[in-house]
Amino acid sequence: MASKGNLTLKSCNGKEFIVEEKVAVMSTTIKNMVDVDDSFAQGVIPIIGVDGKILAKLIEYCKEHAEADEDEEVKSEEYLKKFDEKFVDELNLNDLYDLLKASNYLEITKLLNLLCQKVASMIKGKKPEEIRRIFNIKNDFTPEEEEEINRQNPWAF
Amino acid sequence: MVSGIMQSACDILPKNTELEAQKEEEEEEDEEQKAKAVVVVDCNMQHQQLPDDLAFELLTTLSMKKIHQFMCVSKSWCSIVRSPLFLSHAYRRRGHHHPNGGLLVSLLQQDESLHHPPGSLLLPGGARLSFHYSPLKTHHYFDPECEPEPFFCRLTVPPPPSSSSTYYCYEGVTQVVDGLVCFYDTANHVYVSNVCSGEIMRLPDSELLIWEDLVQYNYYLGFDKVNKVYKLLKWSLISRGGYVICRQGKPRSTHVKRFKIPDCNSRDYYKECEVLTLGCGCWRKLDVSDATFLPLMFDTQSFCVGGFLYWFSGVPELGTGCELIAFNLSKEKFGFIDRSTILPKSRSMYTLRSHRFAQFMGRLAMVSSDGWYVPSIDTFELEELEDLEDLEDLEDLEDLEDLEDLEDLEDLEEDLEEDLEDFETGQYKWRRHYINWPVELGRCSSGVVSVGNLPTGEILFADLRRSTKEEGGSFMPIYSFDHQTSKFRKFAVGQFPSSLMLNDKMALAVSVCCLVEKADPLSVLFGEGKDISN
Repeated sequence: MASKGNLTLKSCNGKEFIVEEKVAVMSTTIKNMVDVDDSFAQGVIPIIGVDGKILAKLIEYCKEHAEADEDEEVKSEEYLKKFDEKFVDELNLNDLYDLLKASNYLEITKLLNLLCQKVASMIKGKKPEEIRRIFNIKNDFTPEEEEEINRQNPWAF
Repeated sequence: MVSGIMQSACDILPKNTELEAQKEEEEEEDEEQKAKAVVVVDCNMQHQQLPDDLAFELLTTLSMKKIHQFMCVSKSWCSIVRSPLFLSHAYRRRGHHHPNGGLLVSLLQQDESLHHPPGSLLLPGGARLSFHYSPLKTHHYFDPECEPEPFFCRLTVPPPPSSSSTYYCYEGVTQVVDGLVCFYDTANHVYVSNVCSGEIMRLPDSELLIWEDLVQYNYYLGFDKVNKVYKLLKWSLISRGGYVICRQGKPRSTHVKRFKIPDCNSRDYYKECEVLTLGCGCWRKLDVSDATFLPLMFDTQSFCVGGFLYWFSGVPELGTGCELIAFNLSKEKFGFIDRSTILPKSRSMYTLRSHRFAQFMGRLAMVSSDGWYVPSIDTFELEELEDLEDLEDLEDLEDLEDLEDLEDLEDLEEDLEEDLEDFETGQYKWRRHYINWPVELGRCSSGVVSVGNLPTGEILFADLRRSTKEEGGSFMPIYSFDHQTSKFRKFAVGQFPSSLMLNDKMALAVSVCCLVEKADPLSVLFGEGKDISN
């Protein structure tokens, strides 16, 4: 049982993490759960579809930012910026992808934006074909349809 | 690091073109991925699919060019980009980069691929209506980072529904007011669209629909500052007799362009004016029996400023008087302004169009560029331009002089009322202002026109026909003029795409304005009608 002010988050592969409430509520999804129903704050919150490794990463990020929000002097904006940079640089693509989905699901807006920027910077030099491979997207256009779209935006190519 | 990550992504795929050395490094990761893949399946997480909402987020962070390039990735990505709220979201996301909004070009084009009924002459109506946009960027030389984004198609309006026997097309489009625009088709249907959100809504039909008679009509859109509502005005001129005044090919009418201009009080005609408050029910008829002007107007858009709508009425080619009509949007009353002092003597439509409406300190201004007729304009130096007396024929800017004491402004409504009385009694006069072109603009100022106002009020000028390749970049310079300091500021927008040639004979109506992102979608503004955008 978590002590007051702490929440227990449980990953999909059964790992439990005890975190301070202020860290957990960086996630709008968790915040809404806690706000609506106090019993969540007592028990274990299962985070469906997020494994222990990713959840640990999420918590690492939220912890830094929650602390920074609380005390600006200890963790300055500059410090956070560096932390963010390091944080995304250390991720491999799979983790990045999983984190992106997890932060979207848990509505951690700051992290989502950060990750989106990162992915965007990675894909901005790519061709549509490469994008399909990276995200494993099937091209469901007929060649004619694709040509029609390209014709509408000739300057984009 | 980035490329390393990308390669690991490629590793998942059957195609493997990585170098051996990198492979080794990534084999570890590969194993990790396999191990994780089991976990992923256990967690019932669909690893392969990027959810649409994430794709939406991702796409909004990209440049417009990339966004459009990635439209062909898949149908779902394409529909994301085309979804009504995507572009406004994408622009709001980078909103702080474009506090000045952007240039919006509305273009009504004839469709070349269009099949006309055999034996009929070409319909003058347009088939394709589209809106093209490029954000205004403060112009910096030698800074490739600040390269403006090219014009792209912000909104393409689907063609009006036609049956096999009757073909309908768009006839006209109003001025864009706060991102809202109305357009109408040959079936007498009228639509409103929010260019920012891409929504399109059909408005109620006006009652007047007389196919047996010949009808010419025009729509004008404006914002009523007093009641804070948008109003759409429709003027119709209906022929009862043998005169033909149509310009459009309507079902059951001739497509031939013939004109005979009636006397104002002729019994062979009657004119009708209707007004629709957007979001509030149906069209209302206005009493215009004592209006002394003919509501004949050919493809001229109105201009909304300060609670008034202004437009030209008359057909200069045919020698009718050309009047500037003023309509008080809150009182719903008309006045007209003698424009003889400002319009050139030439009666060609072209010269009429060379005078453009602009907003000047919250009032109407007419901006002209007679530079066309000044042969050696490029010899002027900036120092010489300081002597305004010599510049009478060069460039001028005129605005309405307010005869009332400006210091003594009472409430807005009264102010407007006084304006209207001024118009009715002829108690107004034009005040002429001059603008000294910056030297670099002056070199080829023959095509310079005003293209709207910045949100802060400065008038924008651009040479829309000017090729910008000569400056080594793919942009079009735009200048804003601050009348208080008499200084220009230079902005840039992307180049017009070649398919958007402004002199294109297929282009039927072209207008340019400055668009600032407006958040309110139509459903919030009006909340009625049917969205046909999907």
